[in-house]
Amino acid sequence: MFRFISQLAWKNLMRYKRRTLITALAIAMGIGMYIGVDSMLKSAEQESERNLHDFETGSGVITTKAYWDSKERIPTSEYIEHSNVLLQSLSDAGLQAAPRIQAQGELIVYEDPYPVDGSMRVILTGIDPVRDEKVFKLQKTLSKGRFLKEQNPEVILGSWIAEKLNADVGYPITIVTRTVNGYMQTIDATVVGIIDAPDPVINRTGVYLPLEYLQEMLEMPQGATHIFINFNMSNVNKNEQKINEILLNQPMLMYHSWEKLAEDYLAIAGAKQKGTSFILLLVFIIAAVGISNTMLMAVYERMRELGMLRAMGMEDEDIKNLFFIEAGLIGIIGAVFGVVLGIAFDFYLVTYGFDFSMFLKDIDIGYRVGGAFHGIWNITTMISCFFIGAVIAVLVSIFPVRRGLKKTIVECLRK
Amino acid sequence: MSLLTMAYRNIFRNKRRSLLSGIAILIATMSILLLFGLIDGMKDDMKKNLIDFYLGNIRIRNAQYTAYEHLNPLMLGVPLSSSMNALAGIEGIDTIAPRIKLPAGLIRDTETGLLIQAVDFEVEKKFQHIDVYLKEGRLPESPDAREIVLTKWLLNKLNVNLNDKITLLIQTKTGGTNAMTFRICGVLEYPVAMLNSSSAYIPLRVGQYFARMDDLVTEILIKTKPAVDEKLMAQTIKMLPELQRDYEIKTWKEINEIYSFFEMAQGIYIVIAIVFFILASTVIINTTLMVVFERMKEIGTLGALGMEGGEITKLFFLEALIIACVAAFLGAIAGNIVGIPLAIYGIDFSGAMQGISMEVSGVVRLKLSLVNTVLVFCYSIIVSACAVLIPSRQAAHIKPIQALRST
Amino acid sequence: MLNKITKCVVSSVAVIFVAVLVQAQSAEDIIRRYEQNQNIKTMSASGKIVIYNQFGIQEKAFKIWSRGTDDSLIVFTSKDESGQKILRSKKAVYLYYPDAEEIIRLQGAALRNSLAGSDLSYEDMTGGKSILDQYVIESISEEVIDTTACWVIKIKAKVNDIPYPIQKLWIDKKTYALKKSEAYSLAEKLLKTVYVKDYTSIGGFVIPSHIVVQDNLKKQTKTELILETIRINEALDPNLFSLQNLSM
Repeated sequence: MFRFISQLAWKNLMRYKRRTLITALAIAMGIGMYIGVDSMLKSAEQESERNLHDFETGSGVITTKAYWDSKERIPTSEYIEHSNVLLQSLSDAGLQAAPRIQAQGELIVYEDPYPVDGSMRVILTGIDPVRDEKVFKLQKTLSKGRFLKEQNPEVILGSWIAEKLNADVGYPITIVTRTVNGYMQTIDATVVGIIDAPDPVINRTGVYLPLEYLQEMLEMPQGATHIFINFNMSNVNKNEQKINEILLNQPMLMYHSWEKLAEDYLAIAGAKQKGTSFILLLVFIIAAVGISNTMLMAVYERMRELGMLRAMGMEDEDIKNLFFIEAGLIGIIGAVFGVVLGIAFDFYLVTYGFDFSMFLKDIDIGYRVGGAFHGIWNITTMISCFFIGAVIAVLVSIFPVRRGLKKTIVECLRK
Repeated sequence: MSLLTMAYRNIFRNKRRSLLSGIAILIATMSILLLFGLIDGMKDDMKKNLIDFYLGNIRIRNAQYTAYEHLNPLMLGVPLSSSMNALAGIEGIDTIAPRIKLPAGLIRDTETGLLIQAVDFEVEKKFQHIDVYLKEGRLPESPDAREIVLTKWLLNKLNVNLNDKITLLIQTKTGGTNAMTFRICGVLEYPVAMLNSSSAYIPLRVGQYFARMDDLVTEILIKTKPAVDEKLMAQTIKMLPELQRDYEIKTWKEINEIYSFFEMAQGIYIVIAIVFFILASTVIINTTLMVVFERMKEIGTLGALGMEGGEITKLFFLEALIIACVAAFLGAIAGNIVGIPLAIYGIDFSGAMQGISMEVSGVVRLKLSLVNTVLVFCYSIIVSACAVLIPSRQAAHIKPIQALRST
Repeated sequence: MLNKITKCVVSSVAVIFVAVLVQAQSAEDIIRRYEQNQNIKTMSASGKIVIYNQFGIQEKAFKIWSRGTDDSLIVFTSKDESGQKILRSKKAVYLYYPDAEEIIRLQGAALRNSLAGSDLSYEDMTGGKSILDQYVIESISEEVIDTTACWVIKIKAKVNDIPYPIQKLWIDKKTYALKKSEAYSLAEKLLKTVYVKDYTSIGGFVIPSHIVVQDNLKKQTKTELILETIRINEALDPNLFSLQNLSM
């Protein structure tokens, strides 16, 4: 019997192709939109985290305890002394690591080629052009000029810093800083490249020099303030254990996960989820209304058919099943379309995205998202939307079908 | 029988169907209206915050100040008494708030930085309603009291309490330094996260003395009376002989970076609105399409009875239009009814707004406007009408026999 | 002993002076002599700092007292700074402001801040240590500056935590007074130039009394230091350099 009902349901759907199509489309539209919006909002979060990981924190970092305790002051003199030895042990343990130096400094520029004399306080970052790539993606975001070469007095600037100073590739720049021994130090460098990273913080604050050169200038040969580590995030515990084993006989050093490095950001992100879910809820309500409405309509329109089936002696239970199966099938067809639509939205968002870069230059909107708001492939959302769409379609049809069955056959037929 | 009467009867003949398509339109209208209310509320809130706390309707600064702002150029100020005298003759000014911005260091084992503003508290009561945001303690007792009011957030950050004394070190107008001890006499709490992290006020006269400003202030903010054209007023002020040279007189909209803030926020709102629009429109379109297709047989019958194609189109169109009008009307009313409590109590976004340096309050109150209501009402009607036009026109071309055959 | 002035305010460079004329001496000798001749027991003077920058010219007047190489007290007398005091002892620099209820002790990075908006930092006036304790002689040569024949001694830091790793000192061959000094960064880029425009001879000492300090990186600024009514070796109240006295 069930088989028969199923077949009948399918035939019915095929018979009223247009109605099936419209109903399914309503469902599809709701689901597709939801998937698209969800993709965009989730992507802003994920991209923020990815950007943090790719440009600021890696999977985690090793610093000296003294450095970490007063990290807000950027105490460069509390650096890791024999970073090469440590890097070797990390590499032996199969971990990707990149040493970096952070130091306070002041950029000074003069009229010609710059339009006016000027200065700006910044944080200098020394990076190892070869090793850095194993953890960070800086090199890939070079928008102009070339990347740093070892041992040269060269600087790469974030695009917004460059714009503020009116700096360009080939321009000279003077950097004033202090060595770890407290001496005044100056670096006459050439701007060799400009970075346009998806992480706005990098564009706004990034001043990069070759590590080895900076080590020499700051009197800290082989030294680094940070050793960033990159590992597969699906195996955090094992990797962190490995790192802590290496640090076991180095009581001065400490490992910090990226979550600790990005504590402030994460606190904000948590709070922001509330806003995100509010928008998603509104989208969901409209989508749900659209689906229910169309389903209700579809069932009511068929009251007469329902009466006919009863008049011909079909059991109520079977009629119920017939309608539910039809609703379910429509739901499924709609959900399939919806997911396809969602995939199309996602595809657009993932490939092109919405470009807000014009507006976001000088402000911090909390998200670590640069130029374009992209989307992500939100498979889980697609799957749950698929089921929720189909289930809503069935649930919504329960009410009118039951009502139809309560009426007399004559009433139904009169319709 | 006129088409209108027929359409009217048809609607009542199938109440349920009419109700369903009506509800779709109603809900869509209502939610679009609420969203617009929310967006407008946010925009208004941002405007209010920008004007009250940062820019006034018109801001007067030394022409060079902005270019050297990072150097804290206190010598590039605006002379207070002569400007006040000059401004006294201008019509339409509600309040004038002189302010001095002083980056200061808190003296303790290490230096912690904060931005203090020297303000006239009597004026700020009117200008930004500073007394409303005072949560504990009081405002400085006299214009010469060495007292400071801070936000709760800053108290926690600096790890001090109400009635504690703090010593602040600043740079003076002539580039020297000066330090002064203040008693914390009041605690503020603002609805805007950004203000909470950066607001500390001392009396104007104390600030002038502290930074050796003499009669200078760093900026003068002007709040206009309602319905005064701020652009025009800025022009008038620019013509004042006292302020003609060396001063930058700008309306809050002209102060570039901040306005782009505003534009940006609007950009994001528009994207959100478009998503809602599309979604809501699909609900309307779908429901209406469904109604038409379900009634193919009826169209056939009407055709067989000799009704012209154009008339059938008109009939269906009229039906949809009536439903749409009623539903959109009810939706607009419902939107306003639901919106009223939201407009009074607001929606708490404080979590979502944290860390965002947009000047939007944590609690956003909806702003309901007649213009929006009318716009959304018309929009809903037009979308539904268009949605019904396509299938009903198509239906009119179908031969009666075909239409009748379809179920 | 070098008068306190040079030591603390004047030189952006822990300056030098040698007073006795000795022929054919080594650079170490020149500096040693100079430091021996800093033994002015006490000194007092009034003076002013003139600061030139992109915003105009500012003048600040002060009185200064010093005792030996370690202790000095500056009290500002100009209107805007009236009553502000800077006390330097062997260990630290203290600031007193009439409107502040606490005395500010400068240490660490705070010492790098500018003194009264000038091209000098508090750091520039700290340290009563001997030059030869902090620096080694790198080279010596001769040069004539404004008709003054000078030795040019290049010194290099041998201890940490002093701001200038390399300095060049021009010392008048006749008077052993400092004519000019230059401070360099570790990369040997010129940071600051001190040039002595005028001297006051008193009690057998030649004391720089008009000094020009220039920040060579920020080219728009210049600071002049002018000392008037210099007195030496007069009895000073021993409490003058105490913290208690600072807030009185």
